[in-house]
Amino acid sequence: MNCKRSSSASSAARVAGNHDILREIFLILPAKSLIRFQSVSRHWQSLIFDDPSFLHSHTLHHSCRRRRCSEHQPSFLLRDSVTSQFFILNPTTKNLVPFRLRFPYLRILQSCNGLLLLECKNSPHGQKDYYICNPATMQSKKLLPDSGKFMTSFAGLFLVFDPSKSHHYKVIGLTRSGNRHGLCRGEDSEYKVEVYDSKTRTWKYQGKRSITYRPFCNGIYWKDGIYFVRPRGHSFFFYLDQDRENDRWIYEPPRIRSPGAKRNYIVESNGHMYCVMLNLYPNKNFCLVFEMDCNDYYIWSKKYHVDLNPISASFAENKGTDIGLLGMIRGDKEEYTLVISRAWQDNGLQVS
Amino acid sequence: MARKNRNPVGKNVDPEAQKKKTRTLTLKSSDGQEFSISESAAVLSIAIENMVEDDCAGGVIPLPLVDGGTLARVITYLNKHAEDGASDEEKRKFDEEFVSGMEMGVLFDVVLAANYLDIRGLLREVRRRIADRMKNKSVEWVRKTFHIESDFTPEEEEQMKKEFAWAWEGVDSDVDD
Repeated sequence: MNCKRSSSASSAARVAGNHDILREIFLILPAKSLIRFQSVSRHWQSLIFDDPSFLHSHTLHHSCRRRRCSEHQPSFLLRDSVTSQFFILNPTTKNLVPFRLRFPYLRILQSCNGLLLLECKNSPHGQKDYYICNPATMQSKKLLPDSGKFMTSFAGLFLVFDPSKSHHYKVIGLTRSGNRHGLCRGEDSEYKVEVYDSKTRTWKYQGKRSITYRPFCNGIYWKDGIYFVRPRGHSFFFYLDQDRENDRWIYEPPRIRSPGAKRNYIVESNGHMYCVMLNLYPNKNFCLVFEMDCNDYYIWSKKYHVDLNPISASFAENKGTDIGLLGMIRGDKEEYTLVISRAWQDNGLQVS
Repeated sequence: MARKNRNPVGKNVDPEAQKKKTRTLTLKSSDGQEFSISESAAVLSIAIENMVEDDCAGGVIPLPLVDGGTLARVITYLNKHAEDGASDEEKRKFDEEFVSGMEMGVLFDVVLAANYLDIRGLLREVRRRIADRMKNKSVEWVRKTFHIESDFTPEEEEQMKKEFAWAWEGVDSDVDD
């Protein structure tokens, strides 16, 4: 018995010291476990973080389009609109864990497949700085313009990151060229397109594009383009590839004509784009999910109708007025998770 | 180097494959136990295949890094995978059951043996099983299981735990399943 125990103790130590075996095991472990296991020892920490090729392989191994099982359910990064405090929400356990992003006066411009594009300031009216941040590893990189230029001269900044294709990200910067004054919404304008590539760490001028002027906010990177979907108003997108057409219109997301209709939510998940609409009215609580069909002239087609009455009943005293959508995840086999919340303080989270 | 014989379940009866099925080898563990195994099963281990090809075996193949208990398990695996007519589905089911009952210590022994003997399928299966057992466990459980002493100060550990609080959320109890 003693002999057996000492033999497996030495095997454990041999496995712990065998880089090849450890690396392969680490490759299978989800990122969350690796982040935790960095505190096992300095040796493990350096195995996990000090080898860019390992991180690259892990990213590709776990990228959503390659993974076979849907057990790696993503978490949501949420921000309390009152206190500005961040939380991580795990849809399975429904626990809210406080999360700190160490940037002052922070605005998240875009979230793209696990990376964030951040705008922050040192003081409320201070200079704006831009960062690419990986909230899982807390690694971040300040975006710097070419010499003699300012980041703030960009009219729009977009993050492009697809871990199933590459572990490098790109940032697209649009600068209005020519007539700076007298532009109205809806007027065509020429934009200089510059692309920052994290592989070469340089900006590269990519040419000019004629894009109808609109405020460039809440862009979504989807299918090689940047999409601006306005629940009420004109939606459009432009392809990143120079050779494809310039910006194009998308059909407006559908509306429900009902006194209980609430705002629409545009969600990208697992390679699909959805428009989620909530209708909240006593005993007529439901949710409609539309999916954008990019093969068929960018039409929104109805996918699901979810009865929210059971949920609103469990939030009974609250009359359904502050039910909101926190997020939506599309699983690999067309199953999907809607995370719906009511008032913050109650942690009243219901997952369906 | 040709590896045609890695999957001996073929439609055509290859005389060479037939010979391998009837020829037996003897594997000798670190503690001196001897095991008979058909050559067709043994050569699923690339390390053994190389030894057979180099003909340095001389009938008995010594495996000084594998103890008898572990070697017996590995041979069970090899025999199943060399079995005539075992379907892929059957093998997959066997693989799952094969590793499911193993304690961590046994998994470590088998992963080291599979690594040393270069048995890709077994290695993949055991690694996956180890990762599966580990993934929701605490840092303390991992240290105990892998016999690792922490070289972080308590302050450093506390700092990591605070900074990455979300990664510590939903951790299983340390009781081994």
